[in-house]
Amino acid sequence: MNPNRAAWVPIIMVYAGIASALPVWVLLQPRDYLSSFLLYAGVGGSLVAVIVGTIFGTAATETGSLVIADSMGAFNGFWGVEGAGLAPLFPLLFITIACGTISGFHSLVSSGTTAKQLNKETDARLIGYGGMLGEGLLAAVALSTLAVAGFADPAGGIGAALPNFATGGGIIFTSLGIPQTFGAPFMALVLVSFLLTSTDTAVRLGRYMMEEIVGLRAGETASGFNVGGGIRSTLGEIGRGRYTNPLVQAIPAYLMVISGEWLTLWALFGGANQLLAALALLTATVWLANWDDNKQLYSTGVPMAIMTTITILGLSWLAFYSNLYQNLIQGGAEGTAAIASSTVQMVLALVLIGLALALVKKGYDNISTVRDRGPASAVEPGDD
Amino acid sequence: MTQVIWIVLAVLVTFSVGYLGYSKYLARFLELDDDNETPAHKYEDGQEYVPSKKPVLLGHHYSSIAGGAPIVGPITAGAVWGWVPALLWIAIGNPLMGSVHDFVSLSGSLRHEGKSIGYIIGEYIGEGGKNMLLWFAFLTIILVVAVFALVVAIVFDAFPQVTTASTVYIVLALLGSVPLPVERAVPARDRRVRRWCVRRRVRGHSTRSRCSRPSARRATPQARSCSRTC
Repeated sequence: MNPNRAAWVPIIMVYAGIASALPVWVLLQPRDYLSSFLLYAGVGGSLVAVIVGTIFGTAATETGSLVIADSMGAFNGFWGVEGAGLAPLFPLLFITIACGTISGFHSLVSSGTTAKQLNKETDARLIGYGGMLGEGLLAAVALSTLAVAGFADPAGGIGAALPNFATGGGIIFTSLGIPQTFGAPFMALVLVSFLLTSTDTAVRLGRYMMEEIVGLRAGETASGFNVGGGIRSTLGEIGRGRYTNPLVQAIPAYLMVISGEWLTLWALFGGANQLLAALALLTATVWLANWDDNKQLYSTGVPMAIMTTITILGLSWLAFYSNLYQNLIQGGAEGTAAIASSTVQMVLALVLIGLALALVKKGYDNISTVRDRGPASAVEPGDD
Repeated sequence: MTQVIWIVLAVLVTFSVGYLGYSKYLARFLELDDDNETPAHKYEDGQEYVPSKKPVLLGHHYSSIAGGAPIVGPITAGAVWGWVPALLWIAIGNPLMGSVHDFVSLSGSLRHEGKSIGYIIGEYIGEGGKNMLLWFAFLTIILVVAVFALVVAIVFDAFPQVTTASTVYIVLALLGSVPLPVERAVPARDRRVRRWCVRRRVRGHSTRSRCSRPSARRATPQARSCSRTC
């Protein structure tokens, strides 16, 4: 990994750890408030700029209009662009796009905080469905910035394409008369603000989840098993602690980053996040099946089945091909750090697949029990 | 040469169809009805259960879900496989799957007193299922920390001036926390109590039920004042 990047990673993790331990009103709330303005300016501004630039031809490009750069391929073939490694479009494209299409984290936000603030039930349509469409719009803006800036440097790795969000955003903003030297860093700031916000919110959510997981365990051990209880409650304390918990998360995270393999790690994240979405859809399907025997289960069940299949295939490819075969067996990973990185990534992917399959099995059993006894139980009371 | 506006237009068209058609059907299918009392009204406590105006809540929800990932994902995918397949997956997948997912998660939670999906699945398939989902989410979060730290490092490396701007931004936010009127209005002790209550809620007890339990009221001084504060 580039030494500059390698130096930044631990600094950012320490920042996220501290930020996640602070009370929400010190940093999180005021920063989210400031970020919302950046978000509107970034997304809204870019959309307006694309439309204005197209109609009036005011962009600071050769022709004055915003066109897709020549270096940007419309379709680079099933195995992807040269330099990306062996990356099959199915299933990897679907999990790489991540939150632009479907994201499991939204179910945590929707059911965690938003549901507690909804004024009327019908508002859920605009906020739930419409909110996600807004996120898709952000994804389309991101794709437009890349299309304008082009992608001429596959040799620099896929990480080289990332700053194109800023470069392309800068070009798009020139149609509003904003100089590129101002627009590009502005878009980079937008990107970084979102990422930093998401990172420390994630560490905070992780702590809440650990509290919930080990909280239960500690309760169980208190009622008996004294020998194991001491160790388990110590581990529980570490997992629960405001300052120790970020370490529990940062150490495995750092291990995975250290090899610096961008595409594999990103796809692993996208796959896990979308598998979480599949599990949220499973939850919804189970709820609908239990709610009413006449509810159709296709609207949630079909996306659930599609996402489960795509993500499990994708995660298996990453675990067995990218990490096990390419890095560990063929020796693609050089040095202890890279080997540790690949091993952690592979184990994590397999654990996620196992957990998801077990949950899907449980959910399926529940649905089939409910639906099978549906008509029968309606008859039985009459027989008595 | 292809104009960039086609990317934006394609998405706007399929999203409009999804919103005006499919989401209307789903709202009927989920039997959303303004006569039902929402958890925000039923358990209103002025802190977490707060009925909010539609545009305000939309803004809050949107800025919580829209982050770095929908920017990084499409760029990476577009660079590797080209912009057409990436665009198709966003334009078709989002209204048929992603938006449905967000909509049903929100509605499902509404019908379960605003509880999280972990609780909802636990209610139907048992405690084991709930724990599995929690572990799953926790492991995913570790991945988020890893990958986002790497992305920030890449951007800092490419745009050093952004590093300075981000630091200034964080300092501004820290300064901004001082004059927040709501927080200033609450004395420090009450703020501690409130945080205690909120923390308990995160573990799955609604403050109301927790506070009203006599054993909880006797347990600690915080819990005593809890019955008054929350």
